[in-house]
Amino acid sequence: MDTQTYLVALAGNPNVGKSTVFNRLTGLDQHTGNWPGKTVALFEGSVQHKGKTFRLVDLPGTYSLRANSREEEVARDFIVSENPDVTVCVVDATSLERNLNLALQVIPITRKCVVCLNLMDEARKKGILVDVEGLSRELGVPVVPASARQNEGISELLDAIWEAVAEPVVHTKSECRGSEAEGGNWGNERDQGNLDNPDRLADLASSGFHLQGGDKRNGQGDEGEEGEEGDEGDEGDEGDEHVPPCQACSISDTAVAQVYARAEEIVAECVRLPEEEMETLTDRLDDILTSRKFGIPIMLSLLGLVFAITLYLANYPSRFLSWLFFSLEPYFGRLVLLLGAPGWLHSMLVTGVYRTVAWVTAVMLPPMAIFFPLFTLLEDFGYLPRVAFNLDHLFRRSGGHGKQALTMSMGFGCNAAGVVACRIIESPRERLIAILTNCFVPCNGRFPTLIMLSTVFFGGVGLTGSVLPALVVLGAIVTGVAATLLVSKLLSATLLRGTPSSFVLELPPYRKPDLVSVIARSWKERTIWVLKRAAAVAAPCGAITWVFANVSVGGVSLLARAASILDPLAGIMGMDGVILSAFILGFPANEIVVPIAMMSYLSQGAMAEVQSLAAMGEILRANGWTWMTALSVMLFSLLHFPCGTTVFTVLKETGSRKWAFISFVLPTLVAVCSLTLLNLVSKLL
Amino acid sequence: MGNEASEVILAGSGGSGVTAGAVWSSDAAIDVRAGVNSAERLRAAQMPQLSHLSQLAQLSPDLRLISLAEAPVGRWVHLVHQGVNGLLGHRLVDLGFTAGARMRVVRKGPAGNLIAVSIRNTVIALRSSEAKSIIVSESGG
Repeated sequence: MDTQTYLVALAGNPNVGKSTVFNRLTGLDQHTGNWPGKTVALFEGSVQHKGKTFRLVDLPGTYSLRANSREEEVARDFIVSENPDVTVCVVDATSLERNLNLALQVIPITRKCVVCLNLMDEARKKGILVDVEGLSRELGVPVVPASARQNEGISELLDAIWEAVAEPVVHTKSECRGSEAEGGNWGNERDQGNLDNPDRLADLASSGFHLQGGDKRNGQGDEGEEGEEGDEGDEGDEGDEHVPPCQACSISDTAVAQVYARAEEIVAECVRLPEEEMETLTDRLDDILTSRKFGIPIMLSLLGLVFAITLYLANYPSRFLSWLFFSLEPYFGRLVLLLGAPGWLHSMLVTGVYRTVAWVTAVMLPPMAIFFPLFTLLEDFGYLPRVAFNLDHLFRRSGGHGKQALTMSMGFGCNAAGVVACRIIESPRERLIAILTNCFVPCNGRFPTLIMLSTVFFGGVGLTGSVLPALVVLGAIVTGVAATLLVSKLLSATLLRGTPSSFVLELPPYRKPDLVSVIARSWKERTIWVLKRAAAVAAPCGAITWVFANVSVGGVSLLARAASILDPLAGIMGMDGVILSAFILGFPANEIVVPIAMMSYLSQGAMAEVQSLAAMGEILRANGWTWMTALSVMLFSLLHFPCGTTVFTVLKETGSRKWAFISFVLPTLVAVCSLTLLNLVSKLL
Repeated sequence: MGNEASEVILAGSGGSGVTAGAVWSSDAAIDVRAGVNSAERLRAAQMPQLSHLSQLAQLSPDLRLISLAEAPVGRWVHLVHQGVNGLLGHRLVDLGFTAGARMRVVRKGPAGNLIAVSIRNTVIALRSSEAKSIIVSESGG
């Protein structure tokens, strides 16, 4: 048994199924998205094969190894500094030319390389034939064909990795660094004919780019390759001397062009493409999904469908969970007493903490556990880039970036998740705009509030009775989107002024998502997240709220006092002090705003179990609520400051306390102004 | 005239440095007016490095140089000059927008400000305003 753990890095373009290969190799749960450049976090896993242990690292998908983006830097730095024992380069058999650009850059700088020729099933469908042995000969490394999604080729890939580490490295590595940083040696390299060989990424002008030279072709000689390449070096070389290598990246555009020239050669040699590029299903679908007439309506319908399914299906588990927690409450209470808790502690733990956690879980878990898998399915299918494609012009005019459409959509599930998703926007300015406006779309924690209030105050009997509330909720969403665009525009005109960045986006072919694994994985991930949050946020919150509701100063509970202090301000906005205090106390988690308000109205020191919506409506109306109040509350819920988790996430993502603070203050200002305006208008009418 | 002249002109144009080598022949029949039109358009685009290309367009008008933004949907074109600078330019080169690369505009976005281009068996979406800086040739092959 070999006790050494070998480090294996997985490199490859975005969208080639690299993560699927990773999953199949490690059996690990990892999120795959048919969406380029999602994250810079590196996933790790391990696998044992024929007595050896391999530690696998999934590098970010990149098109090249130049330093044009964080992902590329991370990928290159990993290979160069961590020096993996084997780098597996996952390439897409249906677009080999582009994929070979990266492979040809990776091969010279890594100790051993194995190419995984993935998506062979798609290649077959398109009528593309690859001469695998020829390709292996041209590249000088083993090539393993695979269809990771169908689990084909994985064991062969493991064998190839195993063999790669079993073979000793034949040649010594020469590391060229430092001195090559001057332009002078670039000329040197050229004289030696190294620039002619795209396999030697010889533009070392701007960074310490390790050149693990000698031969990495596992035993073959160098000479043959150089001889072949010598001739093509003349093309365009005269021009090269006058073109300074790009400052920002370690490999010039010219060198990349040469790499592509080599890739074209290899493809011409080893790949049989069909005569005509077949019009694929993807093309036909896109003709509709991104068309002028149908593109956006279909998009809205799809999103609406996702919501409708989420909210409809979430009902049953919600009720079940409520029932479950309610039934278990007395047992929990007895347990607390058994442990010797004094009366007040018992009250706080049961009626404060337990009930809050129960409510939050019952309200938040079902929608989250349904929305996220649905969204992930859309993502895996490949639809999301089309959303960015359809909406780019809107966001561009607001000073934002097309990809903001995506992050905004993610915000519907959870604002914190939406903020993290903003990593896909490369320009810092536009990323900030997307982060700061993410909270204007109602998250899964706020949706139940909107639906509840809408049903109570606008609902009627039967199916026709649910039309108006549905429209109201839809109206709320539209308002949220409008707010996103307007505030983006405001930000880009004031705090975040700057030029719009470029938009270049790959539209991958539609792929059938791996239904079972996506749903299972996403569902599990979300459940754990909600439960963790319930424990970490809702529980303490419940305790604090209980304190506010049960500690009296001068005969009046703190909660009631706070409410009366806030009454005037709330009144301007068309609400009352109870509501406002509930929102403030609900900062840690939006879901508990309504329970807190109910608690105050009922003047009880505990979270009440309101048995039906009708009863809730009675209580609210008895406290002065009108449909206008309901509208105001809904609007405030939509626009106000994001929840504590989101603000914390903004802090982590931006690394700046200033922006985290602004992410709190800005929406609040927007909410206060909008509501004041709304109230004024309603009073005048 | 002919090939050598083309090369010299192109080699001089800087920018991102990705320009075409001696890929086409210019011994086909010369349609002077077509060449002049291309040249006019390129001059009007006011991109300094394109002054060379506009000369080229006059010398070899059968190249039918146009910007990618103007390319008709479905027509195969070759890349002649990748004129987008900065980070986007590098990204485009990484995606395969190099000399002689064959590509085809697949569709335009719903609002007309985006185009989707099929290049090296991949569909890439980019803004029309940026595609204006990518010069392609409509001539055959």
